[in-house]
Amino acid sequence: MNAKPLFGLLLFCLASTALAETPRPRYQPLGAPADPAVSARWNFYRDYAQATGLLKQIAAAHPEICRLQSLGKSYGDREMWVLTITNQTAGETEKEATKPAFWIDGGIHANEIQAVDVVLYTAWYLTEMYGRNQQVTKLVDQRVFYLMPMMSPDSRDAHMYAPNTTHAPRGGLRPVDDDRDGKFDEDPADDLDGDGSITQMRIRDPLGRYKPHQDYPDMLVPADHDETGEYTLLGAEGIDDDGDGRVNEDGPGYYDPNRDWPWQWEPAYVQRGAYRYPLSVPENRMVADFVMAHTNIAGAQSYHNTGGMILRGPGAKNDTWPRADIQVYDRLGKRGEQMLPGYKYMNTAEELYEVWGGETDWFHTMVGAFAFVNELNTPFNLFRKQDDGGHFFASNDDQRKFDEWLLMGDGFTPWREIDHPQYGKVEVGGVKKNWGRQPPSFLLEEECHRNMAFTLWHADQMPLVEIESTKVEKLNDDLYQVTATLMNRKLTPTRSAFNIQHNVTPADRVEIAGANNVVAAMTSESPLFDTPEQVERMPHSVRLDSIQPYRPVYVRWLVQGSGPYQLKVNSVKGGTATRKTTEEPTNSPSE
Amino acid sequence: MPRPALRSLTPILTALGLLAWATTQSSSASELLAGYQTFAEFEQHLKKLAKHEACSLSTLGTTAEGRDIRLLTLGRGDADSKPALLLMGSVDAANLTGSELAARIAQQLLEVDRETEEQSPLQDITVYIVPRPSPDASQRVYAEVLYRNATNSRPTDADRDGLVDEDGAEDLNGDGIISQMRIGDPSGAWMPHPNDPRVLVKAEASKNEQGRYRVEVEGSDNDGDEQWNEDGPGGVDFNQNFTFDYDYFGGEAGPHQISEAETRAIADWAMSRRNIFAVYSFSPQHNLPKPWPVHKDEGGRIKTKVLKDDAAYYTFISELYSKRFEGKKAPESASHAGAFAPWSYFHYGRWSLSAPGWVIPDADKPDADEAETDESEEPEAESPAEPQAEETGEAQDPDKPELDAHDKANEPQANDNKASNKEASDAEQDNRKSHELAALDWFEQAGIRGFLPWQEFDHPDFPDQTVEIGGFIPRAQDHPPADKLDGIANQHCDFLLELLELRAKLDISSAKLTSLGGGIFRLEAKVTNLGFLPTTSAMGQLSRQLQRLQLDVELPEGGKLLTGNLREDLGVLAGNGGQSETTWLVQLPSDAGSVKLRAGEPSVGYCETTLEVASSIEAAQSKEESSRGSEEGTNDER
Repeated sequence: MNAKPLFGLLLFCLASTALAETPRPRYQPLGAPADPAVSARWNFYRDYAQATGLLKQIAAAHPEICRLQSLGKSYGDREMWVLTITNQTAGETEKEATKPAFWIDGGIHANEIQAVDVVLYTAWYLTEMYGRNQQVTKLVDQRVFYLMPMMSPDSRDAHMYAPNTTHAPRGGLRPVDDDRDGKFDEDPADDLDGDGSITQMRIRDPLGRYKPHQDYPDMLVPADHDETGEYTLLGAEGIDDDGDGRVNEDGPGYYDPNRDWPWQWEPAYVQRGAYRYPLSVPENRMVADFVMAHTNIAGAQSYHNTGGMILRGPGAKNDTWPRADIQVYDRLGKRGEQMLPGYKYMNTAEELYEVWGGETDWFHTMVGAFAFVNELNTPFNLFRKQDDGGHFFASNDDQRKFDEWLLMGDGFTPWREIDHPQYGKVEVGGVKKNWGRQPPSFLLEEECHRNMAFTLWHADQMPLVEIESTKVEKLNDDLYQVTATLMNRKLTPTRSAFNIQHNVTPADRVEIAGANNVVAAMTSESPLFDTPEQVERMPHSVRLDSIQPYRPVYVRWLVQGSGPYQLKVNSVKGGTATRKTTEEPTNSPSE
Repeated sequence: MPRPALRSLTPILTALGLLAWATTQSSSASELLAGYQTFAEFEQHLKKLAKHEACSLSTLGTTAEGRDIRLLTLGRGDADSKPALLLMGSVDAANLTGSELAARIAQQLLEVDRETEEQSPLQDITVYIVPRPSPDASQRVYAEVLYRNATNSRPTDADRDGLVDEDGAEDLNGDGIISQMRIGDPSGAWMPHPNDPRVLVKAEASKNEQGRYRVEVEGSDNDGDEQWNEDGPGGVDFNQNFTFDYDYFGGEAGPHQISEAETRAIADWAMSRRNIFAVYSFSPQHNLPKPWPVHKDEGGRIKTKVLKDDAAYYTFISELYSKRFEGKKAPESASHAGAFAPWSYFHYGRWSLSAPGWVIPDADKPDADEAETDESEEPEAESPAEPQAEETGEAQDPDKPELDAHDKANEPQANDNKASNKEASDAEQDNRKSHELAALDWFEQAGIRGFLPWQEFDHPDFPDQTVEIGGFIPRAQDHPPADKLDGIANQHCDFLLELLELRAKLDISSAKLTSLGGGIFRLEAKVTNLGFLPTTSAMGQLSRQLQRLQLDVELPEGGKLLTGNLREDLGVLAGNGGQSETTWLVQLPSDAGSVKLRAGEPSVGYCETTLEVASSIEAAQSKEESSRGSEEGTNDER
């Protein structure tokens, strides 16, 4: 472990040297650079140590825009890495807390492994393209990105190095007595054939209910109603380790870290997988504490798999969010569908299934950040057509075709006879753990880039307050009228309707300084101030519920003292803007 | 159950320096809490209890201010492996009655244990006691200026305006008490009670009444937002920070559920103790004077009322309680939002029993014993001498969790209406605020200063209005005179002992091993619940918080089950004779020793029996020999 930082540093030096001495390739592909400072491939899955190494390399190679920190240690003693990406040069660091920030995480369900790689790719792409690409540079200067690639680092390694299906482990590894028999994790699945995956068990049985598929004989299909099959299926590979008559009923875990968040949390009898109480999973607690301490977080993205979905909350049917917020999601999500062919933008509760205590619902409600879950990996990608009937996964037929034609049969462990301690001779075989939820090598990079592009666009659409213009008019000897036009040229309001309803974060404020006395203030949605609203308290610091997308807000002060005046907009989620009036007061046209 | 005589705690308290303390406290706190233990004394008291061999003192965690969250474990032997009851003291942190009672109950249980020795209830069960679950908040009751606040000291933006703790209450008239202001205002919601103008009630259109006052907590509008004292120092209320019916964005509910060191420490500890079958708490969300509402139907996926199947048990227990605490009308049970006692049932899955610590006697029916009580007499000795000493009255603040900090504080005299039960409004003629009227009478009778007469005050925030400061002294209705505490604790202790006797009690009522020939045996067992309570409540079963009730078979070397499993799930056994029957086919070598059966789970306890293989074979042979069938071949446990 001691060699790691040194190794990173060495790589960094090599990379810098390479940059300095080799001329840039004349011909750059569009997308990612051909001559990155940190060389990285995007066609394989990094384990915890490899991901850690890459994060350290990125942070070392781009110190002016990167900061790597750990929020603490996981249950299995792994670091909870957060990479902050934003302009950190002198004068910028001080502004960090007032820049709208975007949270990106992956792998809270650790078996959904490419989620981590999309976040790593995002870190790599943002840092490599900073200074090369104008949009990326602007984004990194204006915004702050908090990237947490591995929300469940222990289970990521467990998925890779312990025998599993593609579905496990979904949760964390703290022992839980799933079957409530007083013993913890005493009956996991068992890798009887030693191939690293948990596949299926079958016995040859002339009266069985399953028969081989006519085109893919390794695959079993149900026998017709009027025929007998050739096999009986015995379920997932395993033995009854604790002699309770049930097989594989209490494996590592189980609690679901994405049913552990405070909003609409319900205990396990309502929401399977809920642990003890919200944020009772300590890794989540670290994340929540970090997020709550960074109130500037205005957008969030959480990566999952599978099925090709862009999901918005609410997760529970009895939960309703204001229509105005849903409209914002609609605008963002519809664009996402176009950027991610095969992906469908939808609502979790109504169109997928109910989720109580999901992470992104908490982001929307209790953090005040618009947040999506992307379910990575769409069956559309197998043959670039909508799969008929496979839902989250491709149909069995398509999976087998793809396996045979494009994976050269690598997705499947052939049936092989083994001695089962309880059943005698059985055959073991079936789909490997690295197939079903995650793209094969050659589809991974595209998955990373397209999803990142959607997320960066969402990040760009976080609110950003501007003082569009100011106007100073002299009303009489010592009374001036100062008018400011405020804008937010982004698709997201400075405060969501939910935020306004519950005062989740403090309201926006517009302040005026430089006057001898602020006599009164008013606001208007119209430049004519035809129906102005009086500001009843603290006219020097005008409270605004929000600044809506492309809807100007006009603020007018009646002040004594000829200026110049300093105006400042403070928005927790929308950043700050300042402006000093420079113009000479004009005489008021009226009166 | 017979009870030995109890000694009063008063001499101990005196020895601990009570008198010295009383003279050093601020006048208001000392007046309210005269005879109550200081923080240091309370700690000493717990340490002293822990010297008893059946008691140990441990720490569940440390609060933000560094105070220990204390746990007393009363039990003999391996206490954590016996069925247990958890007793919670000051769940409403600013009501110190709960913790004083909890410590006294510990003392009294230990005396029972000493007297009864081998018959001691602590032989079979464990009693966990957390007397002060939120010590930082409880500590604030001793502050120089008396206030009703039950929150810890976490800096909080209660009004969510971006500023933290910027507008606290002030003791404007310098009497050492944050009381209330009533501001003359013809559009105000409040008016004097028709029976007693000191008490304020809401004007009702149905009575053609007109309001005369608006009401605020004593203080100034420090941040100029035209709200008074809406964001004072602190904090989070332990009893609003739990997961059941959590009040999102509530001013005292915390940033999220179980956010505080104290709630987390207690939830983590409790949820890892699968031997706890019931929780007894002193809280405003009480269900012992009157059970909580019951679902008429199945109640949907998320349960918000007591499940039908549990209702009878709660009713029976409530009746037992009411017999002991006869004729004491408790105020309505308070809102469940984020509260501990409802959490204990709905999310923690245990029998949750909650009592007001103390209830002020009803004005109409002054308690006989109460009236007779001679203050100079110590509640010496016999518990029967003081059976109804002090269970009447008002131990809490029922409307509290329903309102945010500001509204709540503005609620005049925060007392009897506003319960979770919305129908129980103050609409019934002049029964409105009956507990407050009773409290006024009782204060007078008992010579206690519990009410501050309304007095005009020149308030700069209200230059054109008449402002009067006064009203009920915060928390005066929660704290009985200290010399009543022993007697009240005595009653709760007796009730607790009765309650413990109602627990589920398992028995392997019959067990048989019958030889069928050829080394094949039929194993049969009946497990019966002889206790009153079922082995788990319906909510306990649904919540999956407890271990399953299981019957474990241990076979001798070479034995093999042909049907059935080594661990059989028995489901739930109803109370008063609920039974389950299990059979297995077993293959055993002829020279095998014995088959062992063990039934139970940690919150119910275990029972076991052993069956000799040899005697089963003998029985079978003798059955063959005699032409009549024999039912033997059985050994019964016991």
